[in-house]
Amino acid sequence: MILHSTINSNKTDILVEKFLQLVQNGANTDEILVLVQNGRKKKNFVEKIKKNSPVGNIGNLNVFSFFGLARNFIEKNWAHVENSIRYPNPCVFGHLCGLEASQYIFKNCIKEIEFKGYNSKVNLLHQLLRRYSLIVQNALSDNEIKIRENILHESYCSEVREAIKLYKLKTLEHRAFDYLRQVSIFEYLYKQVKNPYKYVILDDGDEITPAVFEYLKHIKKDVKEFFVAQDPCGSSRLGYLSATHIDFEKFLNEKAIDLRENSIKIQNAKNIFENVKNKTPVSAKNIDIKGFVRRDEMIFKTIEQIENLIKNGVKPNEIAVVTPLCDRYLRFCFNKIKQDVFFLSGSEKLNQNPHVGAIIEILKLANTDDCYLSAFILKGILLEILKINGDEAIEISQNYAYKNQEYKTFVKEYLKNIKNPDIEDFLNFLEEIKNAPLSEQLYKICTKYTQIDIKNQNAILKLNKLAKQIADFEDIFGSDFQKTTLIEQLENTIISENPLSEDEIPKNSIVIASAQKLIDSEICVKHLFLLDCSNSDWIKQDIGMLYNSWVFQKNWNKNEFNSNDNIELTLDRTARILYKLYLCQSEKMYVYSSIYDSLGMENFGAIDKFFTIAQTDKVKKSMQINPRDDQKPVLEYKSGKMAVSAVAGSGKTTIMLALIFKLLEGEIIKNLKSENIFVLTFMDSAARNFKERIKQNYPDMVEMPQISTIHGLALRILKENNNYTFLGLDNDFEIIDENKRREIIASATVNAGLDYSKTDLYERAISDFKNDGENLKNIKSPSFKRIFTTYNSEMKENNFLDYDDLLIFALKLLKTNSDVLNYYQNLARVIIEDEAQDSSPVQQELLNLIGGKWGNIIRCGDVNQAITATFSNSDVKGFKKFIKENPNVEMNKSQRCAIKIIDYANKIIDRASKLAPEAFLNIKMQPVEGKNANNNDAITLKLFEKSQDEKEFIFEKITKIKKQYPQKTIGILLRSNWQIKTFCDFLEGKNIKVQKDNYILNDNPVFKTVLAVFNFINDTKSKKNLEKCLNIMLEMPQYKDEGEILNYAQNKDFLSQEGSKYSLWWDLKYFLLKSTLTPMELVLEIGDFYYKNTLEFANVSMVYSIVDKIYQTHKSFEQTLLRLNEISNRVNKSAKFFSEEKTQNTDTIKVMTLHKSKGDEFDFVFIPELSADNLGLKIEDIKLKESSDFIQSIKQKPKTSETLKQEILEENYRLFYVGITRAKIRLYLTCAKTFKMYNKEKTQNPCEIFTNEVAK
Amino acid sequence: MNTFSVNSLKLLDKNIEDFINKYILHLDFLSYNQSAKSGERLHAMISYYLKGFDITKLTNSLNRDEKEILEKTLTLDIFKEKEKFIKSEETFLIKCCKDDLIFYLSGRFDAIFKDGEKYTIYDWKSKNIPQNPRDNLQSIVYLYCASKIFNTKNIAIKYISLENQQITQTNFEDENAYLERIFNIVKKLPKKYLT
Repeated sequence: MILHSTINSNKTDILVEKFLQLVQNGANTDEILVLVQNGRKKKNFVEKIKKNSPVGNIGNLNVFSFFGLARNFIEKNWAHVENSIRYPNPCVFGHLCGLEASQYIFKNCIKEIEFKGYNSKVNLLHQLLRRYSLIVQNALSDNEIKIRENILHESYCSEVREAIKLYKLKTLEHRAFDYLRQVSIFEYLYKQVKNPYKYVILDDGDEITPAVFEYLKHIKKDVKEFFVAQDPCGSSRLGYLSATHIDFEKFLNEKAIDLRENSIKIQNAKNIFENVKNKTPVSAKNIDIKGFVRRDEMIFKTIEQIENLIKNGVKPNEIAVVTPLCDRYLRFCFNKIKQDVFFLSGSEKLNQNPHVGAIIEILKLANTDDCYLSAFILKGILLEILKINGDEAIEISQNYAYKNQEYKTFVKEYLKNIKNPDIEDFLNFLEEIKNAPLSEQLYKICTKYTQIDIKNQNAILKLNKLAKQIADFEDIFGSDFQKTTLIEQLENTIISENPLSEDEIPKNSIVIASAQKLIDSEICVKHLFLLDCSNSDWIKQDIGMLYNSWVFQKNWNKNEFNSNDNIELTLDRTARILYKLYLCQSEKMYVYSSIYDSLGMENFGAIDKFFTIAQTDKVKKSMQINPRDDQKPVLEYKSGKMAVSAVAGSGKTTIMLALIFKLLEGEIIKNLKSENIFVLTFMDSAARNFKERIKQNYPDMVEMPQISTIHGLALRILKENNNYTFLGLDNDFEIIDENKRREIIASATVNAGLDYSKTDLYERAISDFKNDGENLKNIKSPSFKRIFTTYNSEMKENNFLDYDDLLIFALKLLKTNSDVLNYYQNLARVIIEDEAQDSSPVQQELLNLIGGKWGNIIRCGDVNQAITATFSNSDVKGFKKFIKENPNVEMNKSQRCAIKIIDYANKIIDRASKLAPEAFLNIKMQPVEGKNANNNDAITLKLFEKSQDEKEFIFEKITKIKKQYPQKTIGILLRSNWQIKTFCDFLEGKNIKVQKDNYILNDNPVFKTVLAVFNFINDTKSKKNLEKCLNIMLEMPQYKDEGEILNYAQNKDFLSQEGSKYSLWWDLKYFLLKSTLTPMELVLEIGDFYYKNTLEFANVSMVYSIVDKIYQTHKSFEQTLLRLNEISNRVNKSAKFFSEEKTQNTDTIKVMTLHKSKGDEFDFVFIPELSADNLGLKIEDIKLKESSDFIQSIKQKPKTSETLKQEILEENYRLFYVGITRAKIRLYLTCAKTFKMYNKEKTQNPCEIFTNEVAK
Repeated sequence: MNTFSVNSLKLLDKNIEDFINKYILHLDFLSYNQSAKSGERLHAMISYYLKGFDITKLTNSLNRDEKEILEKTLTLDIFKEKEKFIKSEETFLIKCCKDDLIFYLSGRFDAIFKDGEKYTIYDWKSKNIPQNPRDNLQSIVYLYCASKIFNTKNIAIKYISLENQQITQTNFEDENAYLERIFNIVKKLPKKYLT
């Protein structure tokens, strides 16, 4: 009997009824095999049989999950298996172990086989296991594997074959079989043993694996009757999880009975299934679609919505949340709901629980005498395990930290000198247990130190898992392993990796799960929230370097595999998953997404694309703009290429936005979708600004145009549809952050025998070299060769890509893979590029490639503002050429600057035409009638004797302006970063609030606070550390009256009770005692305590992610903190903090470099320290850096010194032009003739504008 | 929680809190017991033997003491009467109902032999066998369940000490008294835990 059914059609009840009927009609339960997909369903099936059976003998139930079938078969027939194994040393039982033990074996096999040139060592094991899983679950023969190796042109196939063969032999030798190995033994075994089953009941026939189906095929001849329930649109486990779609009608040669009710719900679900496959969005009345800017907004809105539902009588177990990103941040937010929440997904390491973490550390202590411990962990043991009082525990652990710092001290040695009966007892206990097997040690530690009560339930369950794993190891290897190595491996085990650990779902909880887990557990609710729908993890594709989930399917029958196969198959699986998810709800499905993920990185879009709001609900345009005459042609754009050269302040951003709106509303190109519009910006902040403004205009818009920097686009190209596999990149590649990159280059530089200070130079050189494409063989500098080679191998080893790689790889992919190119060419119907003057040759090539099909390319910029050419790879010539060859809209009117300033800027262009003719295009700025300020005192040029006088002058002016025009904005623009610090220090010394660019981590208040608390926790004794932390904490409004605490901290022991009159003392102590948590959880605690508004909390999540990332590599609180302190003052691109809408704050003065000022405007602008050295405006003033010869030497076509000088001169003019055109009302240009350096007065030449008459 | 084994009933009888901790909240540490492992090995070997597997190779995995015990055990009369052997390591699940309370009993018979109409359940004990088998909770549960499975009252349970081959046994007596005894233990569990 075949039932076509869904999870809503009571199929399990029908199958249970069939089971009971069989028994009633005389079948023995031993003859009935029931197969279900997983352990949870098995339990459910058994309970139903129990419930519906009559009183008396129920019988021996053979209800198995797909994996359980294999396990049970082996257990029953172990003697047969053992007799078939050729190795001696038999075992009474096979070790049917968890993955941990077999991974340990696999790891050792890999060591024996050399994978030459395989770069991602961490991942090799993972990849091999996945491949092995596919081979086993698809029951692939050696020949079938060979065919697949050929289809995929695999370069590692022989190594892989050898590794797997060795692995199989070793598991036989040890009799150690994890759930996959069990399946492969089963495949051998069932052919040897008589089949006991006459009836087969198969629930979840759509999720069956080929391995299980092969078994059914084998026993078919003995089976009297099959009962199969199957959802024809099911099979959500296609791909890596190896479900296969079986035509049971053909297999059993009978017609299926269709149990699927003919409801609107089923119809909608089928629509979802079909539409997703056809890539057309679905809308349904009970699907609520919302897009948010930030992830935290999405999470908080969900929580709010859930709270409302509960208020209105919905029960918690009628609500479920599905997301592929069940990280600790999400957990933390959801744990704040007053309802019980059960997480059915997300990986968790054993040592994440403080108690379990401490017990693992004790195991380490018991087995090593010469062991150092981090003070942070020691504190955890003292507090969590020995229950020593807080103050004493802190005292003991911090003293240890000091002692260990001074002269390395073993922790046991140190503890011996502490007079505390609990500690003495603890040390004696460690001595007593040290020679016992690990499992006995663990048992004894737990019995002594873990209280059995419900508060400890989580820890106990985990400890039992740990005990089980250790027992597995001891059973398999006896004493043939290093205890400490094993402990280290086990503490990093991710619990959810094991399919056997399926915790029971509490009855009254909101369930938060991954899509697959929700489907697998058949959790049906009224309200189902799908979160992070724009995150690509939703449609993660299972392809790796050594495994291909599609080609390794049993039914793969094509001779080749291309990217379209991958897209189609992934889409098919996504359709099945969304279909099943829709069936899991009965009232409403909420599809929520956010533009940015929790690190502030953009999401590329995923399943959000498949849902759409019904047309009538769409919000019509709200922004109206009246373009000026010079702007109009932009909005009259129809198609093709167009250049827009826009002078400073001409309203370029607004008009581009208006153009995007027009495109979005379909007024220019018919049937244009959001996804067809590609906008490229130079800075991330600009991309973010565009997105936020589009979102403001269309709050209900779910799918945004592709708006990003060129690096964002390149990343999308590499990641989307798993394109990276075509470049042989591994899926765990990571974009290296600047700090890590610098770290690698710095150590390579020092190791090459060069001074650390050369790091900057090599950072630049490596980037230039990569972009230039020169061959390393042709480079003369041996040190560069050495440094570059080290850098490259480090990058490969760690599977890192740098920003240059991103672009180079994306370009390479587009050039070499026509499928990928076609995909983007079809998609990119309109491309708009902002700041086109800063575009690099690679960017321009990429843009031309993806714009190649439709040819609608709009490039906006101002060649006169190209200020990055001399230090980056930008190439203004490309844009100049584009302007010449295509229709060009000149937006040369600007209402920003005072008329006098406009005149001055235009004169600079004239002046440059003599000294640096290539510097500018002759586009002169014009005022907008009646709009620009017309004050006579718009420009002040002033030369001072001493630099101190210059600063005092600026200070005086600022004070005056602030008094006279408190609402006006002021900016100070400087040539270099180092000048910013001196200027800020000076102004802050005069009590003037300054705001630096929010670029270094420590400028973010959340980061700064977390770091201060961390530093405090790490060391409460050092007066210097305390002062620094307290000063930061005192900046918070709630502590503003507690300044005296600084005095107290200097004179007393900070933790003594005398501090208790300060609330800051209490709060810091609270965190100190909380500090047995992992650093990430501490971040959330601190964040939750201090930051209430959502924007700040979004930044908490970002700090959390930064700490998480560091902790993953550094693994201890102390090391993580060290690294956090290192990076706190550096520029960080890997996290993009959110800040309030850029309404200009008139309270503070902005101090920034001339370069950074582009895009900004201020009422009053100061450009001080304009010496000839700082900003040479005639060729004699230009001095090349010593390093420039070297940089040129690694290029294919080195430039001469003269050319370089000329280029710098040109750029200096443009930089100066950018600076002056920031000013709306007044501009102050100043310089001093002398300045102080190391207490010596030095003279300097003012720049040309102070000496040249025209400029004056 | 609705299914009880002999061990869980024993604990429930002894201490309700311990029972809840272990079987409902799972607040219990996997115990560490080497002699229990040895017992399991011998059980398995006997079962393989009874099922007709060749155990020559497997015997090599036993230590000297274990080998000796196994050899001695297999010389017992019962192993000479293979035709009477029915099943070994047979799991069971029995549904019980008394006073509106429904619960289940589960467990595993080490071996079952049938002589004429009489069924005998064999239970190998690593060391000590119950001195008073008639009153032993295991006897009560096993005899009650076996009577349901084989639909007869002609049943006995035999305990054999593997260490010294001592044997004790008891026959099926009173079904109602058995159920009453089991029911009185199950009743101890607060109702909210019974699902």
